[in-house]
Amino acid sequence: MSTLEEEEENTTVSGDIVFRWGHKSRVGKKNPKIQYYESFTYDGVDYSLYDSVYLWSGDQLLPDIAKIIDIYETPRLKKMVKVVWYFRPTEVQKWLRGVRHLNNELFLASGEGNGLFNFNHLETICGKCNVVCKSKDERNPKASKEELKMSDYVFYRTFDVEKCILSDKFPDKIAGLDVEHFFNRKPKGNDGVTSKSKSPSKCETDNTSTIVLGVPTSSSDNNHSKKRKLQELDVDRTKSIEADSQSIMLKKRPNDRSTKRTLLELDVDRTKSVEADSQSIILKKRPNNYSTKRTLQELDVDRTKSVEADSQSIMLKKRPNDHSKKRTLQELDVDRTKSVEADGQSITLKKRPKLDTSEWFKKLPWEDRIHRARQAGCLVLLENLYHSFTSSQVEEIVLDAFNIKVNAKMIQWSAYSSPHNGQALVIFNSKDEADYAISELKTRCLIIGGSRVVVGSRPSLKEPGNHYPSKYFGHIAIDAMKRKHTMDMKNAVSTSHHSQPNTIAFEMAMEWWTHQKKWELCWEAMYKKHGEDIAKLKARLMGFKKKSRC
Amino acid sequence: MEPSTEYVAFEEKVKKTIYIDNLSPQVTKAVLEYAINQFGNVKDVRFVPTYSASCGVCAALVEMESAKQAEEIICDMGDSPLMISGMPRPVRARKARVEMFEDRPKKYPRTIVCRWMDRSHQNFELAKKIKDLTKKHGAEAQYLMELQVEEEEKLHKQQSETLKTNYKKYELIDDADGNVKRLKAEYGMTLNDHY
Repeated sequence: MSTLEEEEENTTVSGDIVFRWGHKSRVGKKNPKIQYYESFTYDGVDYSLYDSVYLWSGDQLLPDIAKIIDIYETPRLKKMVKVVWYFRPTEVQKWLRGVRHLNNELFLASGEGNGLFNFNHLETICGKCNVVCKSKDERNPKASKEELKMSDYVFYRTFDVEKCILSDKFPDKIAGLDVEHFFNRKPKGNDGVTSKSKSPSKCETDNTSTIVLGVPTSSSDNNHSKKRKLQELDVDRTKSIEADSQSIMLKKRPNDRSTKRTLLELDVDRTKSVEADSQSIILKKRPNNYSTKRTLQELDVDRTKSVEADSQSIMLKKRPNDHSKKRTLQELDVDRTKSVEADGQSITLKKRPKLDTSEWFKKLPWEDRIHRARQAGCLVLLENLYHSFTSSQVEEIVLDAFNIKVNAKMIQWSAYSSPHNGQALVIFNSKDEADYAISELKTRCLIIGGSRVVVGSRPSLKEPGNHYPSKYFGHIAIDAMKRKHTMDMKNAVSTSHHSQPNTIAFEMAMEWWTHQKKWELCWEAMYKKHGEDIAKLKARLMGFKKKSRC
Repeated sequence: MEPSTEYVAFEEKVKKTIYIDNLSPQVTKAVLEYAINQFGNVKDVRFVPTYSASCGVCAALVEMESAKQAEEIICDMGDSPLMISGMPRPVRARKARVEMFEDRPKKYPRTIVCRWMDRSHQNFELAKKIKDLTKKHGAEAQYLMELQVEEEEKLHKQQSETLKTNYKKYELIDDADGNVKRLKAEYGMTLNDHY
């Protein structure tokens, strides 16, 4: 047969999709008219045996993912593939029962029975899928980091279709095929080795994605550039400016000023904080290394979020024009602390030793106390606290800020609480105290932890007691029905149940569910926007702080 | 800094707890306990008080025997709606968080630092802006809550109507039953069905 005819025989064009068979492998054992193949080309994509592919039947939402284990053509010229399925976690949710899984994880089918494999028409294949196995099974060639990054999906567990259980043990055979075919392909030649190469430039550019460093060519030796690049890696790895600043400290080369500057500008991008920004700006202004040290410590200041380091760093600056600022800051310190330590190190919270009688009498339950306080005008709502605060910490803060001993209660996080704003209810001892606190918070700013500005106000609360008009909807009762089915209704009211899909209650429940889900998304979106707004202002506040120290 | 041992123990407890909301205010502790006992062993039920006027939702923290049970229940409630006290509005369950609890230990034993900023400070304007932003956000949250409650009210009314009309249909059929019997007696006919 001439080559032209062979080609024509192999290629079929249906519509616009070109199909071509690849290597023939064998004929069927029972029926020699069935021709098996090792590969084929369909719609411009080459597929071979043991590839993972997407299959789509036209009426599905998402394509299925499976591994081809046989490719053949029937005597009637039907092109078929035998595929073993990968399950998406959502497909086997019922048997997962809260087991965690990765976002792009799949489960390989195993065991015997329905759902393990199927014979499908080849035309249902709609693309190749990059599925990487990250199982620690010794028969599985380990996948490199790059491969995992590039993969569409990963799998390391099997789902037994018969017993419906998830396991990370792989049996010896799946669907009659040795399990080795399901693991990652053995690397051909030296492919696997190069990815683990020790050459710094390749390794680092892979891992650090988009660093474009304008490194001047004046760098003396190879070692030098490697160190710098390694330190850039540190930037990504540690995500803290401390390590960055450390690496900058190590470099004491004066002629590297330009590179240092660009590095720091890079740090800016990497860490996403305005602190580094100002650091680099400051650096441009001062040519000597001493300034880096200073700014580094300013950075430490923000890291630890305490005013302690603040005053320390200012102490270290021996510049004459900073003198006035130092003085005013220390004046502040004097006001705040009750015991001024010699080097003005820290503003810590100190409790008053004065006897207080509030602990002597038994306390009423909180509900009553809060309502009484509100009526007396002593109740204040503090906002913008950290959610992690406990009630006693809030009391300490008020004691320190206002010198008043109070009782406070952190409002418990509910489904609708803002994740950015921790709130607490504080009961002052008198209306005057409460007024004083609120006015102080209005005219001055109380800042906690360097970035949270406390807001005080009088809260509007629910009316006490249980007789408030319930804003709870969804409680529907029909009296007449009760009359007719008193026994059933009695039982129904006293129990709780999952409803059956064929009742009207189920439809109603579904409506409530959709409503709920929709609003959950709304709240989420709103709080996300809030977070962004707050972050912008916070960044400016932190940034300002830096500039103020120039 | 390591979190205190108290806190670590507390976190264990938090893992075993489910936060359930969208409860009817009529649900009592006993009802809730009984309801969840169908799915696991309930150790403790505590209601979460809401003080603000705008939020009308009732919620509770239910501590189960084990973290696994808690997770399973949350999954179940996510799959099919659970109605407590027979209300068509299903309850919602999610994992509990440390901040939801009333009495919680401190995570780190460090002291908090706070300072005052005077008007003269150059950041004062910025700090003031942050305060205003907080207030604005609070107002937005309140508004969103109002909108949500409005929709809930609408849904409730709609469902009431549907239920009523459905019920009327049944009533009609039942009444028809009685009418047919009377007519039959009037005309002295026999009917070829199961009457």
